[in-house]
Amino acid sequence: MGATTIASQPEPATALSTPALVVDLDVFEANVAAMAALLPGTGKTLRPHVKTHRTPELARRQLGGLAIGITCATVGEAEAMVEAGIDDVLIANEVVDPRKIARLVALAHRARIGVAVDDPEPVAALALEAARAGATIDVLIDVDVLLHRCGVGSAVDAVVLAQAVERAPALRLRGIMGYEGRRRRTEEGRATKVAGAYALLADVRAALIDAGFPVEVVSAAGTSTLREALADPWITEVQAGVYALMEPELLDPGLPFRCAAAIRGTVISRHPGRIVVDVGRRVVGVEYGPPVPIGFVAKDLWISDEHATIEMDDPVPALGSELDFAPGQIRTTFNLHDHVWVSRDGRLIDRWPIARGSSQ
Amino acid sequence: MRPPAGLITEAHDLVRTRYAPELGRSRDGLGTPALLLDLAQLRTNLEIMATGMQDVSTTLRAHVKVHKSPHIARLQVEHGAIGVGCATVWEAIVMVRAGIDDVFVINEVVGAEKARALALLAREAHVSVAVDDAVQVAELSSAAVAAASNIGVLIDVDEGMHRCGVASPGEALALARTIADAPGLTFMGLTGYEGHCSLEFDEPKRHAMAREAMAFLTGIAGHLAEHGLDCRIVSAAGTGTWQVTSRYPGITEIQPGSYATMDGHHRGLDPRFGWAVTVLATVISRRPDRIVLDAGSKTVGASHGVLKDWDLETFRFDEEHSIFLADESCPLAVGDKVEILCNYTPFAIGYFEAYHVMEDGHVADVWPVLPRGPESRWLLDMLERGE
Repeated sequence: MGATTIASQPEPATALSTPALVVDLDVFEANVAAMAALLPGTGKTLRPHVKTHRTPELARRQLGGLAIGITCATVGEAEAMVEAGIDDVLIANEVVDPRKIARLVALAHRARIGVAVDDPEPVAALALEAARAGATIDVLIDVDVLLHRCGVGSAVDAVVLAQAVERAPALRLRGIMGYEGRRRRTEEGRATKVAGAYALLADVRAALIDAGFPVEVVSAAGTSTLREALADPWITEVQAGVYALMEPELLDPGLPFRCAAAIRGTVISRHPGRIVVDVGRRVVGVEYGPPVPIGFVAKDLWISDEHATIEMDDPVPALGSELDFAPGQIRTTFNLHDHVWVSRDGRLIDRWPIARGSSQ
Repeated sequence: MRPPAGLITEAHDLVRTRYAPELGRSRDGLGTPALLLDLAQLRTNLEIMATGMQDVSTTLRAHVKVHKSPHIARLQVEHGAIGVGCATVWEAIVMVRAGIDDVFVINEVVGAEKARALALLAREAHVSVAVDDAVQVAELSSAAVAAASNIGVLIDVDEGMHRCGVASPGEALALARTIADAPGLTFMGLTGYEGHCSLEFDEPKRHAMAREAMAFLTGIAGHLAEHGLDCRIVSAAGTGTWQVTSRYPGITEIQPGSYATMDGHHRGLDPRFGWAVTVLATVISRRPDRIVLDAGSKTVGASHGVLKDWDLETFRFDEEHSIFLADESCPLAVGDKVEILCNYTPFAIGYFEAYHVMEDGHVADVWPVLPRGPESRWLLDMLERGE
């Protein structure tokens, strides 16, 4: 289904009405440049995951140099990105619904399209549809390296699946992928877990090569494991996405990225030592913590559906004051907005549409 | 109730067109993730509330921020609601255009633009709003005078939740006098939301807390009456407390919302209402010990959910996936459809543009979520143009 929003209409760039999402383009561009500077000499390419923001205008600005294409989580996201002119898309997820497979194959006439697989049955459906449409689809075998989500669990299963892919002329086996998940800096046993995940990827890679299959691509990693991935000998491609906008919880002195997005709210109620701002969970994702105040200090903050209630020292800001917060969870936040305002040097310069709701 | 205006019928046509291939299909033929509305269960919930309201003297104002559906709101009015409650001015505009004559923004509205939206809307319907500060009163008054309209104003009372609202009889009296003196505004009474009670699942305790909150709220109404300011409306309650507040002397209306759509949290408070909204998902990966669905926190919301009809333990919710433990005795296979019962339905609704309205297991209609928000300033532009 299309991702356009009902009755969205053009508005002048001055018409921000809170609560609203704002991206600081200067910080975003600095993050993209910092990532670009990390890649040379590692032998790896970058395929930024755009499920982070679902915003074609941001995605286009992440490409170039060693950033060779994008990663998506859904067919709907891929459609929005191809529509915006992006010509190399990996759907790093399993697609099994016949109508979604048909949409995915249709995209392959307009862009290079890859997809993850972990089961022979959808492989057969994909092969049939691609052959029928005269399209070629790149395929990566998804390996469950750590998350216990999708993906084959062993090298043996990977080889069986590779044989199924190899039998289908419309499918091109490119290699493997695995996602080790968000690994907090302080997580116990983190180094062992990440090393184990990459060791399994290396084993599966070796088994496929031994069985005579090509493995040009080993795709993995997110922003939280960027350093480990760049140091790994077998990974060829990094799927990080959050790096461009960042989240407070992922900030790491060892990574050159800063928070670039903010939710802007208005003080709608004030009391001694307390204000209420029109930023609630209906407009900001909280899975990795509540929104973090930018430029002021909160003693306490609790968030309900439509409000953030903030305890702070008097004198509290006046009614009508606008305040910014860094969203705790970027991806769910962007998916609650129709568009993101763009600021440069602290001034709003534009507003870009978000492919909100492209979850199908 | 007036018939729905063009804004609503056009949005309805748009989603019906967009999802046209799904009309008439059975659940198992739908694209996922999808937001399903069980129309029979919705009607049952509305009837339970209507029956409960027969024996009490309070009126029902249905809070629509939960579902943001003009179609559900109209059904609520058909089931006895005297009007609706909203969280934003944008929801209020949509509800007036849905044909509803009495719309109350149960929230503080700050900023000239939003005050103007309310003032323009008040030309078309009975519009009221909550305040807790003289600054809001001044803004609303200027806007109403400029638009030559009249806005009803209720004082928001902090009944113990410590969010918005005045916290003392003295503050309420001063504010009531300011409102009474403000041109373009009519002082209507008091509103409060005892949201802190809805976190208490022990019913006797919750009801005791709600009675305490109502005593405070009606006490303030009494204080104002002693000073010659009568409250025509004293409004309160949610789905977790309506049984107490709807019978409490001095309360004139209740404003629950979740009773219509329901979710796990609210079923813990009042299990007579059933789940009318679910998220439909597809099994996209089958492993020996688990199934992986294509709906996660980006469609079900941060409060997650459990499976309908399948007694499977949740392993984890990720953004695009949810994972449930299922050994090989479970017949679910890749491609199968399952429904997720949300723990908190409003979060799921924020991620969808439309409801698939299910009747007898088939898609009978597609209803828009409107306004999706949060930024919906185009609705003010529409009012400005006189459309």
